[in-house]
Amino acid sequence: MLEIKNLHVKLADEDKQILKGLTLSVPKGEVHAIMGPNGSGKSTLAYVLAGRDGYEVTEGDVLWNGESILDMEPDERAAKGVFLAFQYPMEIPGVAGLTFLRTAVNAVRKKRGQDEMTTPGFMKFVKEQAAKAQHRRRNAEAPSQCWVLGGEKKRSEILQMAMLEPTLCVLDETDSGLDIDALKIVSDGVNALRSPDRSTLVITHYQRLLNHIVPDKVHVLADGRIQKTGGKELALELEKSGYAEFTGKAA
Amino acid sequence: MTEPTWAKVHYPKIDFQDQYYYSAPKSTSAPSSLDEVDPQLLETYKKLGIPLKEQELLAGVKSSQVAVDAVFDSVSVVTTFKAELKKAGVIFCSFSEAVREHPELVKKYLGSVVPQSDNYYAALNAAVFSDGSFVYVPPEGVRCPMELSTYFRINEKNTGQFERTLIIAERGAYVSYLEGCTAPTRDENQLHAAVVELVAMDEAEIKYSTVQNWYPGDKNGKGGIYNFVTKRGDCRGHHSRISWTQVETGSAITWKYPSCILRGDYSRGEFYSIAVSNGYQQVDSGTKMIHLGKNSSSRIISKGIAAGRSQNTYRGLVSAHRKATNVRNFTNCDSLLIGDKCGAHTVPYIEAKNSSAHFEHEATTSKISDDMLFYCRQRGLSSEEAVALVVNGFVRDVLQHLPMEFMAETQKLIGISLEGSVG
Amino acid sequence: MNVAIPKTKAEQALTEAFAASASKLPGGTAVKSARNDAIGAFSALGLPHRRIEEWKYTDLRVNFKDVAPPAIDDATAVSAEDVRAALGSVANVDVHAVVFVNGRHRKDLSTPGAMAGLEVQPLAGALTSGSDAVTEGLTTTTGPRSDATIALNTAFMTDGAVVRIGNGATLDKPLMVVFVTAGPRAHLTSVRNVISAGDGSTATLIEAHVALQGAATGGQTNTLSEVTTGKGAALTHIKIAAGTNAAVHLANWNVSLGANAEYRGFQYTSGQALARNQIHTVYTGPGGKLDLSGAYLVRGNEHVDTTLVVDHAVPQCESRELFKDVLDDRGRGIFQGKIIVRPNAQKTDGKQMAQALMLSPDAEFDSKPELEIYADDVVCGHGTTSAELDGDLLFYCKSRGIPENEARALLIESFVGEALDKVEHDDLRAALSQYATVWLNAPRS
Repeated sequence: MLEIKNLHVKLADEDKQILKGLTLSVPKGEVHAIMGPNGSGKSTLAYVLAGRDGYEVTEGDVLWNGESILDMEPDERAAKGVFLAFQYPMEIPGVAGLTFLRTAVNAVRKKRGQDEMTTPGFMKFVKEQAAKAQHRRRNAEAPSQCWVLGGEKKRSEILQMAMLEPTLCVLDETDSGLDIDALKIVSDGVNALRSPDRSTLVITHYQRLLNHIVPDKVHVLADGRIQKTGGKELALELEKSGYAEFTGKAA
Repeated sequence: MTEPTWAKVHYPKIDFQDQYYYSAPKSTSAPSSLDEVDPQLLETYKKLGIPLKEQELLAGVKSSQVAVDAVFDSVSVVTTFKAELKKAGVIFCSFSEAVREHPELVKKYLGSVVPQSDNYYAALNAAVFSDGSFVYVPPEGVRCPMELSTYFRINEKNTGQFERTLIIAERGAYVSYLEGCTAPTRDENQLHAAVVELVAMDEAEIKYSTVQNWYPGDKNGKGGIYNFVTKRGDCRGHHSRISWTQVETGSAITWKYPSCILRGDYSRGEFYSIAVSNGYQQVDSGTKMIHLGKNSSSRIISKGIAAGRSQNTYRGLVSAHRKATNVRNFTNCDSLLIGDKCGAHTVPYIEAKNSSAHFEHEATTSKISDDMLFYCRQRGLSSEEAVALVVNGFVRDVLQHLPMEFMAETQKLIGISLEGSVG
Repeated sequence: MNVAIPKTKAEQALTEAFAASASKLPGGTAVKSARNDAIGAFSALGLPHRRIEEWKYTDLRVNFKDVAPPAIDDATAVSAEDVRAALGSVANVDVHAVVFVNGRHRKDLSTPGAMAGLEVQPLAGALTSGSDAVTEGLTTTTGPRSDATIALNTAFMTDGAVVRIGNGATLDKPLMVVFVTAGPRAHLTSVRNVISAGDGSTATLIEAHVALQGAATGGQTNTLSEVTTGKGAALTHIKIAAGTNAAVHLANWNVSLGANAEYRGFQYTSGQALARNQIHTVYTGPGGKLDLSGAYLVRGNEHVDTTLVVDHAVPQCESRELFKDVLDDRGRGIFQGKIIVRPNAQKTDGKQMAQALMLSPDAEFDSKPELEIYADDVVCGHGTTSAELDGDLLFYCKSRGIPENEARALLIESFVGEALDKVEHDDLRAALSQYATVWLNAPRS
């Protein structure tokens, strides 16, 4: 279970407060969506959960399965099961997608006390997970340069998510820049990973993703705080009325 | 001659009177079995993680396909695969043996690429060199049946190393030569002033690969090897080809410019380099591609990685002679900076003395990306693993040109060299 | 180890010429003393030669042999029409003009009156009256202090423009400072401009070095522009060196950029026997933006050298360079461009490109772009290329019915055009484009 308690976050280099007392919990097995206008602190939340530099937590805490993760390095968190699907996935120039995947899988397995995977074992695992996430395997085989187009990079994020077997998935505006087909493929992948021992936090600006990934709860984030929480119907309301009500409140 | 001062390196004056120019290992006869090989030496190989056939060789595994002529403190200790090479007509032996057995070849080619008056350190080498390696691949399409390899190690205190290497590929011949360098920890600076000469005749090809991980000095910049070597290849024949690939991770100071004189028409020179510097290391390295032959071409790919308080300079020259028409060069020099206390410098000279020369040079310098490192760490890699992965991606274009035997070792070596470079 | 190098004829002639003319050069005690120091520095330095790294490709000991007598109080008769003719297409650009003939201000040829926010004064007057801004500049020049060409300029300078653009001023048209070489006798002309662009000002300054039809060949021009831009100033600076009289042209720009200032420099050079264009720029505050570019047209035995240093001494600055050389006959083009990023000059963004187009088998291009980087959070790069006209493109043009000559001209113009496009002033860009066309169509020697 993810518990975010009264989280206050500012930029490390600037005197700018972004999260101002955010409280939220996502029980195991549930998918929660966070929606909010631009600049509300959505991406900041994702980065703070994953442990990116440049942010300073001034108050509050983040507990994952009862343990505070704020002092942990990003890779320690990854080993604890935290996975962040990036809004803009990266490629490491010169490193093939599969090489990267294998390096990551083995790094995480080592930290989890599991054996590193052999090449055949790894390939088999890729195949299985790709099938599960309905991920066409040729994507994984292509060198990283070929992942650039359209939703390929996003799909590779979902494959990585499947391969690293996380227990907390945070998707940071994974829908941005995707056409409807790609959106469907990515959503199918996320849905395939829904399980009773996994918590998922879907961060999005638009409601359309939530047609495909149906959340258990929807939270509205504005001005650094959760302004409203409701069921999946809240997303539809927001689609109609927009965020004006909440940003107005903030002002 | 005076000591040169133009490179971007700083070091205390070397007392050349204080160097022992020649020091023989304690046992003077070549060991016939592993038991006779210094166990400390095997230990050093092991520590440096050389999972190569060379280790098997030292252990006496006869099926390995790499021939090693190990040079320890200037006198050859082990030489293998003589018979097989002899069958192909290839001569691969220590320099001293070559002088004894093949004086006519040595006389004909020694100093023909790097004359003794070439530069300060080459002159020093010519005056005092005691041994080294000699390779001769006979004409008419002989392909050397195996990768030739020599391990150099500096292990006597205060010993300057002055090897001489001479490789000749006759018409249509092919040879690939690997040079791996390791040195155990020593307090005082040691000087290495080797000279390597390559001669490629018509349609011959020489591939020369180096992995250099000598002692770089301690974390305060004390000690370490001074690596001032002269390496030059002469593409003497038409359609000849010389390719230098180097991975420089060691030495306190590296100062070397493996070069190609592209004398033959349609000859080709290549230089692929990875230079990693950390701590207080100083690297000033690059190449010269001297185009004298018509339609000759060259390619330079240099990847410099500077971390810690190191200084990493690429210095290179590409020139086309007035009569060398239709020559081509493509150069790409990229530098990656890790941390704000290091420096990366690029000093290329491009001289086109006729209009048909087609030269392209590009260089970039940038910082290792924080975003990329964070991405890797989010996927579970430790900060050192993340740096190693990003850097190995950065150098991929060069890694590809290393012989298979060296690739895995090199990737590991780069990681080791950058340990402690990020907080 | 220092071996005394015997002085060349030119070095001796320069020292002697100074001794002979010192008393006639403008300036009070402070200026005289600066001149004496400068000639002393020059005597010690001598003419730069190929053993000096920065002068590797341009050896003045070899290429600068005969020294013409210094131009002092020269009274060659020149009419406004002559100046217009010498300027060619550039004469049609609407500017405020200040004209100098053989290193001496000519009020009669200059545009009367002034523009709002602009003060222009001849340097000779400023030297004589001991203007602080000018005399201080003599000792605090931002350029390399150990440079012989700058030392010579200080020693021999006779005149030039002292330009002050007021804080917040926007000049409604460009200021053009014209230096004309004229008359049947060759001279050594030394001029200096001291330009300061006030905080938040916007201006375009053109510096044109031209020769009258029939001017003596073999003279020398030594010109230095000392440029300071204030905070947030936007200055466009264009230098035209278009000669017909086989002269030696030694030029320096020493530019200092204030915080958030934007400096766009462009240089056009053609018709010089030997030109050395040195540009030295330094940022003094964050947020500075520098854009340097140039087009050089070289033929015959001409030798054109561009040597520049961009010194990122402070964080968050940007620099861009684009230089294009067209080299014909036995023409020789040299580009040396060094980008320095000092420790702590984080967030530096520097990019440089130098390209040569070789029109003749005997042309030569030497390029030495250099990056010297001591800060890590930077994006820097350089590129350099040297090539003939693209055969495929030429063929493509011809296959579309364009005759060989026209196709070549088209491709050359397009190559030069990329640099000319950096000139934002429409009329001036058109005029320079016209220069290039005239150059291309000139009868071949």
